[in-house]
Amino acid sequence: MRRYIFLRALSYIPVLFCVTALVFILMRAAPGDAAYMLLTEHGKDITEEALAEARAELLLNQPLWAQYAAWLDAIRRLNFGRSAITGLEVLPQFTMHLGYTARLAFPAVLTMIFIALPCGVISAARAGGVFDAVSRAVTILFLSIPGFCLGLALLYAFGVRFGLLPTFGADSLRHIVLPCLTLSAGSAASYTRFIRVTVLEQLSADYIKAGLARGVAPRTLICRGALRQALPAIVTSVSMSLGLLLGGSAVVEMVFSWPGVGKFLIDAIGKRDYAVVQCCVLLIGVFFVTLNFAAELISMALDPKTQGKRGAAA
Amino acid sequence: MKKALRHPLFAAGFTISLLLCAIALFGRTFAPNDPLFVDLHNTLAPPGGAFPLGTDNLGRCVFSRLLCGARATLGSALMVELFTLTFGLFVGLIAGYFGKAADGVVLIVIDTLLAFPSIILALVIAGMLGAGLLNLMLALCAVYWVEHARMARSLTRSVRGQTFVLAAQASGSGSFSIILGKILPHILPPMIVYSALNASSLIIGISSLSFIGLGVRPPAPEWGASLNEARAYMDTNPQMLIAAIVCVLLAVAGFQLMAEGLRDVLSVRRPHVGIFRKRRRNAHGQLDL
Repeated sequence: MRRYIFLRALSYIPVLFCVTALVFILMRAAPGDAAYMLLTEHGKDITEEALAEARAELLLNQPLWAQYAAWLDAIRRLNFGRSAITGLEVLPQFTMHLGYTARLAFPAVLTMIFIALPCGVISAARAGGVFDAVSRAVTILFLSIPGFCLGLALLYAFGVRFGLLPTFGADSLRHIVLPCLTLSAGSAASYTRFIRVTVLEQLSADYIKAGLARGVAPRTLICRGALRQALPAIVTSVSMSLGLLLGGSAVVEMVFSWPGVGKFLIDAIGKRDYAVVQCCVLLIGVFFVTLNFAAELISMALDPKTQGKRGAAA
Repeated sequence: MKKALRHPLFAAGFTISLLLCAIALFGRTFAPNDPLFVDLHNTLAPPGGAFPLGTDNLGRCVFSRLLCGARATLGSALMVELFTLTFGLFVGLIAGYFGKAADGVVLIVIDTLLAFPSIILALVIAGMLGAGLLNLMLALCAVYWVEHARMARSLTRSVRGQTFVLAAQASGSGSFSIILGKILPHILPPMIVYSALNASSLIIGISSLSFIGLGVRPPAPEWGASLNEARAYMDTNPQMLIAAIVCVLLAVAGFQLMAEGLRDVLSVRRPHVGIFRKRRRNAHGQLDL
């Protein structure tokens, strides 16, 4: 078991390397002369010598692979450079914004589970029934509203029309409600469907029929049987969705002016602040890959099928 | 096609999408006003008269802008989808069928690109290329083909070892005629369902990136951009915002419904019956399982 985990972890290393290479190439391909920008940033005169000096300092006169190696080395020491606009270190800023995003993503995931789990299980248990039909219609509706549209609609309804909740800011619990609802609605819809399908698959299995025939209550069969079997798949996709929420809430953060990672990144793109963009993209990628790995481990630990193997290895 | 149209979800989605595509093609001729005509004496007018949905902050007709904006949003979404589907199918089929080195290279590219949430990657590429509809489409193409390729690859691999492929190989058919003649028809139905779904997420992607200012350049009409313009005036002119939301919602829902219906039509799935539902008793008085 431990050996398997180790091998799986090893297999992520080439992916991580490619992620860094992709970010490096993206940044190099971006228009604009980095040496020129460094000079204007420090308010120096732009002369031929100064430019050449700056190029040497930035290693721009070296071959591409040497630049890449130097850049990797800097990242290894967690040196992500400074923002070209504010002059602040990028990494502490990133973690601060990450905190805001997490404050949004965790309640959103919890809300999502609270909605999706019961709805999904009930519509699977009563597949073809009234609840199933209604929940199918509602899920299609919510899947069709892009997050930022729903956010704008909620802003209009609760913020402007009824004046119940603040429209922007990130200071109190009241500020979290609307963006959190916006984020969780779409994913709750897709997870309701996912859970419904996963549980349904289990319900058509023979052990359920056998249980029913022996007179086991359907409720027990669903909770102890089908749900338990379906759990690994559900947990995996929920932890993946946490990553999607952390990274993918960018546009929703823009709608609510929520100072999360997404807004940080979009603002930096708007200002062409490459150090910030580079740091955000790289860390989001690394975070995403790590999360995928964690999800894989969790689902392995939960899967009743692999538990025998774990017992054998221990 | 006839069978598909009898499916209520597909029929509904197909009608909506067809209608919106017609608007995208001919919207310009039906627009009551010039979508770019600025009239600073008639800004933020309420709906009515010559302006069915009022005017925006520059006095332009909101209704006409939405009609003409359909072309930018839907047209580019469909073009990107066409490209990503073709390219993804091509890469996926080759990697899945030949395996070995081709597969290894494709797999690592796929894993790398899937290491980011796709919208974030599209956002960064579009941002680096600069605002503009063409750049936005390029960015979306660069990102969204991956999921198609991944799916085509795994579908191809699941088919590759089956008897009808082996038989074709044994009778001496060339690789490409096997791929095009045997495997492609086999994996096309799920790919089509997926591409309808993906078209809806492309509409979301295009409108959200335009919303944050990475799509069309300002005077040109586009739904995401309209949403961004409408946002500032939501307390005085909410109809601007609501109309744009309805447009995006309808477009996305159209493709979602189509995908939903197609999934039922193209794959023969046994309808499930829940175990909590009342079951009929059969002739012997026993419950049907």
